[in-house]
Amino acid sequence: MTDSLIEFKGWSLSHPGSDDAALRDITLRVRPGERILITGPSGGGKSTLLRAMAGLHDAASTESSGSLVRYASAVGFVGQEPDEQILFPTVGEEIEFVAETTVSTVRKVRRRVGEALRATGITHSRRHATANLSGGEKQRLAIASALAGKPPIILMDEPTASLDAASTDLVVKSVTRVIEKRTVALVLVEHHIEVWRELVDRLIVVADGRIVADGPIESVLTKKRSTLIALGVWVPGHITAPKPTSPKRNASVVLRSTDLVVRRAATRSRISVPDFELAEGEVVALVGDNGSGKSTILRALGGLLAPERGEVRYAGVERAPHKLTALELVGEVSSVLQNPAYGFGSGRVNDEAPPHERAAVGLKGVDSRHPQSLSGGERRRLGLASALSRHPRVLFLDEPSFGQDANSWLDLIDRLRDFLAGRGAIVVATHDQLFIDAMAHRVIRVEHGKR
Amino acid sequence: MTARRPHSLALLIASVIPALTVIWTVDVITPVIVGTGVIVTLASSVERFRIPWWRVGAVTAVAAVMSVTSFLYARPEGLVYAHWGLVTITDGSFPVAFAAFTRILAIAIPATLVATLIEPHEFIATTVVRRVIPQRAALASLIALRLVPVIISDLAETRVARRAAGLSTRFGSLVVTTLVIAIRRAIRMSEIAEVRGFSQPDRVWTSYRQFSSRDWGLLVAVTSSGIAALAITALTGEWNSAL
Repeated sequence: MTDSLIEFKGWSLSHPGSDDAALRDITLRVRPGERILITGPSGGGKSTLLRAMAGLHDAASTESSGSLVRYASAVGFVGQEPDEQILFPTVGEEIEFVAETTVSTVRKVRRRVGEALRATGITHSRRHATANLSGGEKQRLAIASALAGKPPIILMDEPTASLDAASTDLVVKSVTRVIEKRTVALVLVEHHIEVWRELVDRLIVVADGRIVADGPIESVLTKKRSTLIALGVWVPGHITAPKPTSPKRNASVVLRSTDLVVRRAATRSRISVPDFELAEGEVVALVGDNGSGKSTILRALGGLLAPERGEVRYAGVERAPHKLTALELVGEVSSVLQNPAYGFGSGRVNDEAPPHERAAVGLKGVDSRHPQSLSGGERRRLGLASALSRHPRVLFLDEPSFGQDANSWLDLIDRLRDFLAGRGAIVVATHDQLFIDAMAHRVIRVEHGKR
Repeated sequence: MTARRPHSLALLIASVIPALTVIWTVDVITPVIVGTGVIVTLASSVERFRIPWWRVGAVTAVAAVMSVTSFLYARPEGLVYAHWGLVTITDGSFPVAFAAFTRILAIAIPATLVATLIEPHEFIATTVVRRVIPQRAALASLIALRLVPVIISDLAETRVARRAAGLSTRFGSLVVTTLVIAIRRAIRMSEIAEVRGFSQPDRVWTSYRQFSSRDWGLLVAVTSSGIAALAITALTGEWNSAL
């Protein structure tokens, strides 16, 4: 009899003919009730390791050696993207799907659903439509679904990566309740250690497919501090925001927004934007909760959708941005959406942006990969490299720092500062306070719009 | 508390009764009787029944447009009012067009009502428990339903992102990118489904429920409406064989 839930002994994984992340010589054991945080640089193999724990690595297309034994009868898994965690139209159906395979009667299924809802603090009715849940609520529902199978271990891959502070707080509270009695072990992949520091007791650092540190979290953070910093791990307190450089006096105005009102399609709510002017070398940050309409405003400013009222004007351009053709628009400004993958037009990273721009944002070793196969953080950096290669006067960035390790984050800041020094200007929608502190000259707070 | 509602399978069967009835004769009486019968039966069997006026209005408008074809191209009969190429409007055009209009409404309005009442999960659970379709296919089709709005939103997002990149936003280019993204998303969702027990052979189908006497009553009532419609049409001499 073993006291392990999952046990790796000298285990390696490779993808023949592919440059996807591989794992090398992994030895680790996950015990009942443990709380483990896995971190490391982007593309280092954290998620691959977690997926192997969940049994999600494709045995047919990969080669492995060594030993991996999953003693746990079941695992709960929560992924990164809220929309991809939800499989059914109602809250009840979502949780029932798991409970239906683990108990033998309808009455017991319903009891399990109730228990999972209570454990995660979800107060919506079972018939509540999943389409109407916020990102944070979807992640909590995914946790509730995972719990319905009463697994001894729950695995989570950056569950708060795309959430604002309030939604992150909801998810952290749910996880805290779930693991409170140590009946469920937790293995969590996360860049931002600080958020989970109080909750976990063991830190594993994965880089270049290997485990480079493994031990009690405070001990690893203290004893391996310099190694972790060199690898780009977000060591709490290490990175302090460098002050933004001031724009030049009498800098020319490149964008003017007057009486702007936009309509958010998802909720049909209207959002009024305070009048503002953007000068060369300046950064304006739009902040607000998930769903407040930051992205909609950014799109109206970037000429990607028509405002409901008011106007946006670029210096020297007669027509409103949304009336410009796509080619005219990219001659003036560039937008990097939250998921730039939608705008990639070629099958190789090489063809999306020139080498010097890719290097400037720290994108290395992915030249021949398909852009859609990159991690979220890498996709954002490629989107930025591609946007910068078009030499825009204004950049519109939607959550550019999501999914970045500390080194990538610093590369991002450096490249954007170069852009500002070259008379560029930026409007950014972000939840990242450190990014705001480092870059923004002005902040516009977006409140939830009214119907 | 869930409102009282007939079984999804009973609703689906009820929705096809008008089509099976009006297929026999082209007249106005048959669709009016069977359509009214089915609508009244549905309304009386559902607690807190609400008519989706917007959808019913849209269906009525489409029926009106479709019946114009019958009006313009019906077999000439009686006085000729207008003639232009293949278009001939005669005395016979009016009853044929009106019959076409009522037939379309008799089929489409009950189908529209049923679409708002049916629960896919219950329907699929019934087909699996009754061994009509395999469990894996049933679950996959339920999850695919959830993908439909996601793919529509992907298409809209692709359009915006391609404009931002200065690329073509023609439908063909959008579809290729959306397809690549949809396939990757479907793979990730299928992994989530798998880890949550998609392939487990033994499953309790919570959404399954057996036919009640009320469901059988619904089927008897709508079938009777169809038979009554055909009988009255025949007895009043309005039968106009469509076969």
